[in-house]
Amino acid sequence: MREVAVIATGLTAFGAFPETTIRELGAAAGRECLAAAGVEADRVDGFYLGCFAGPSFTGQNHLAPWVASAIGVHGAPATRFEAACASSGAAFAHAWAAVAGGLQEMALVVGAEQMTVQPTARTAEILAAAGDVADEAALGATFPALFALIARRHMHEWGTTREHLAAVAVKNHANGLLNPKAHLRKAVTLEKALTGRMICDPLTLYDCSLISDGAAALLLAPVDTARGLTDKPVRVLGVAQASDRLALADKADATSFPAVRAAAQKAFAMAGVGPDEIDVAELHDCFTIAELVALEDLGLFPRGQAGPATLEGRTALAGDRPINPSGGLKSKGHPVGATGAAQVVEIVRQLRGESGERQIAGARLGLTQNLGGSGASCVVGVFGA
Amino acid sequence: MRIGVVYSETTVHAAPEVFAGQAPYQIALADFPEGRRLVRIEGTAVHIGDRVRETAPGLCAKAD
Repeated sequence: MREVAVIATGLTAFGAFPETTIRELGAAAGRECLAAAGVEADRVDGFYLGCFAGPSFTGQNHLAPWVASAIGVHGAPATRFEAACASSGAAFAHAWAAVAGGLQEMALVVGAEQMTVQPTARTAEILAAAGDVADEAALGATFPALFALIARRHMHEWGTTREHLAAVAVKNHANGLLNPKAHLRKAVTLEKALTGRMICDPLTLYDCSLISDGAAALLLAPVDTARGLTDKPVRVLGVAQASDRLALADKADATSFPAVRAAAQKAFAMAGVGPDEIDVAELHDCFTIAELVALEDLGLFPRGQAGPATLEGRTALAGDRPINPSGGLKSKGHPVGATGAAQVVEIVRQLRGESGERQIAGARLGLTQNLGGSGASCVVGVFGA
Repeated sequence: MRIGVVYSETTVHAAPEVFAGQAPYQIALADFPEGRRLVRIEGTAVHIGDRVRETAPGLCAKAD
């Protein structure tokens, strides 16, 4: 296998953009990415679109060639990858495999979603279809409900508290304040997070990520090619995707995701590094509890310790283990299909030292963890400056 | 009557459109002899460790 690098990135603002189209969002990120690399669209020989539910949200299917052609990519294989909220993580993993395996020389990954074109109640139904429709959605189990079940059990088994959950929201909102592309740039106090409107107890509005529109893009090439195009290629040291049972009831332990553990184990082994060496990470905080479970599944903290560590500030920008400097899904926003690629964008820019006020000084090793559904898909990436 | 034990539970306040008229409602993961299932709870609210009795397919009530 060849070593692969991320040559360039593109990222739209995240927010509510119902007046544009998912095609234009995806194309904007893709064009920015190619322009940053100084690469013409006709050099792209593989196009990977991560998008969870474009057909349900917008009515348009066959989205990959539609977005690719708006960027000027014609002729290259163009396919949409769907793995719920891990859709563009999956697109990235498959693009990496094609380049690493010598099948392609210049792969463009775009993650995109446009969600605000539907009313919130309809959006909840579309999102719920990432779970088991017959056994979960049909009973009225929304995604917040599934993660509330995880949170309640985690509190029971590991001593996690509402304050621990709220501390994740407070920290990610503080980071998002420093990110001009973030959807909700607003400081949140612990008291406010604790007293938010109840969604599914114990999760309040402040425990839930946002419904957003947006897109992110990544250009991948063999490291040798990358060196001729940029003086700051970021190497993909390890990447792995894993899957698990769809329904939460089918998981023996609802406080840990086997797909996250499996993907992390493979990605760390491929990279030849361990969790303690990671300088900065973007984790999938679709709900506050998800960031705590991810911290423990990735081995960044022992089980039951992620909540107290967060409350102590250890995962803040100035902490010893900074998590979600972008603001995460909580503050930056969560246009589902864009999220996995956007996590990689943040890590690449952190490792290049381009993150401005939220830069983690001297970051050399970064990690992304992109989760689909209630843990049925996961992609973990390890990156090196 | 089949009896299960509550593994986790939540009360849904923000419901999807089709269930909006029923909110708030409680759902639970409950362990039955044949395995764990997601169920709706009717009547008295339940907590982790409580025993529940299945009153109809997918529907449970506190057992004691």
